[in-house]
Amino acid sequence: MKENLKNDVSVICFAFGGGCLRYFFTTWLGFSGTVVVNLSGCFLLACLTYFFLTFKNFSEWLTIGLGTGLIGSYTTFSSYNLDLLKMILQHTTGEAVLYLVISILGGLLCAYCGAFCGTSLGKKLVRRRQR
Amino acid sequence: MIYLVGLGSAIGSLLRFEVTRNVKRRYRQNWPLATFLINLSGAFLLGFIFGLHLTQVSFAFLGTGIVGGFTTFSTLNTEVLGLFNNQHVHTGTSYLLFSYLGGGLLIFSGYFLGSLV
Repeated sequence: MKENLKNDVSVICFAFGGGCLRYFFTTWLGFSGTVVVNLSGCFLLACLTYFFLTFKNFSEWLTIGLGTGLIGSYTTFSSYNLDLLKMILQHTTGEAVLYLVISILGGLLCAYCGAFCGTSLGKKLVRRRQR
Repeated sequence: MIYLVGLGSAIGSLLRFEVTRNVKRRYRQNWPLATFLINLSGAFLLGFIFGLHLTQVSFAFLGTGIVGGFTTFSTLNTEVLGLFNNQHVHTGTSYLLFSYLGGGLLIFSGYFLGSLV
C-alpha cells in the first residue's frame, strides 16, 4: 500500500510538469506544437522504457513517474484528434492529411529511434559497471 | 493558466495510471486494452468538451489538462513497437489502426453530441 502511494504521488508530481510543458509548446507553436510534443515524447518514452529494461538500476517510483507521469502526460492522443477535427472544420483537409501522416509515421519512427538509443545507452552503462 | 493545465494533467495522469494498473491485473492478453480504452474514451470526451464551447479557462483545465493528461500518444507508439518487436505484427497493426480510426470517429461523435447539448 505504501509503495502504491509513493507511485501515485510520483505520477502526480511528474504529470504536473508534463502537462505544463505540453501547454507551453502548444500555445507557442499551435498545431505543430502538438506534433513536436507527441513525436519528441515518443522518442523519449521509448528511450526511457528500453533504457530501464537494459539498465535495471532505478526504483519503481522513478521509472513510473518519468514514463507514465512526465512523458505520458506530456504527450496526448486526444489533442491530436482535436487538432484534426479543427482542421477539418476549417476546411484545411490537405493540412489535416499531412498532420495525420506525420503523426502516425513519425510517432513510430521516433519510438523506434528512441528504443535503439535507450538500449544502446543501457548496454553501454551495464558494460561500464561490469568493468 | 499553465498551472491549471498542469493540475488537470496531474489528475488525468493519476486516473490513467490507476485504470492501467487495474485493467492489466484483470486482462492479460497481448492487446494493450488499457491504453486503447483510455485513448478512445479520452478522444470522445475531448470532442464533447470542445463541442460545449466552454470558456478558455474551463477548457484549459478540463480539456487540455484532465483529458489531455489522461490520454497518451507516446505509450501507444511504444506499445506498438513492443508488439512488433515480439513478432505480434498482426496485433500491433490492428491496435494502431483501430486506435487512429476509432479516435477520429469518436472525437467527431463527441463533438456532435457536445454541440447538441
